[in-house]
Amino acid sequence: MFTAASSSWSSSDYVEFSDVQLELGKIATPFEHRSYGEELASCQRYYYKINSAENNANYQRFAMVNCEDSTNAEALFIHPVTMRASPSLETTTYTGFHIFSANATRQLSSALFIDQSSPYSTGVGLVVASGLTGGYVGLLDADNNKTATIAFSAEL
Amino acid sequence: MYIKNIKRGLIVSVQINDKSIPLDPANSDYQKVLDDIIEQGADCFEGDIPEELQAAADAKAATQEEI
Repeated sequence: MFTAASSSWSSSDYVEFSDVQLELGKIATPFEHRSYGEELASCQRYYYKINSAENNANYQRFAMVNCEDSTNAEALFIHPVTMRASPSLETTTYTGFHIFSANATRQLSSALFIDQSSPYSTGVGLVVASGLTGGYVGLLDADNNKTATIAFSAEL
Repeated sequence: MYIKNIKRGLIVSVQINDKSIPLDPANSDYQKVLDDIIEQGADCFEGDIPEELQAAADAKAATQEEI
């Protein structure tokens, strides 16, 4: 529907479309009213991102971490929906993250990579210079960084 | 240039810039890795191309030739 304050168009006028459904093929199906949650889940099958900026958080918590030894750990991400395929991991620079371990040490990450990935969950390998203790748990946090993001992509 | 991510002596994923790619044929980034191996050969990899990736790229190239 288009409405304007006067009978002529101006640069500040705009048109809003709603209740439009694009479909492949020649047969129109009944219009679907999907909730925000349904649309979000459909999108997350292909891509989702955990974003510090959206939470305005300097120390966004991304995942629980299992420390394997003094330099290696693994973070487990359970995907919010089953993804289309084993997703790729996309991150901002490694220095934007740290592991806060149960022994109260904060170790800067020097690498994040996929250790094991499936449509259901992904184990992310983490590497630090030193200071972790094997068997301890920890948190993968943003390192005083509001731009740190971790995303999973299973796009076509 | 792609880098191998190795853990427990095995290649667990492939890295390019800030993207880590699983070795899953259904992953479109993995298919791009194979395409780059077909087109660029060893130039696209730091070090040798892993045997399993080279074999997958060869198989994909053979399929493309048949088409």
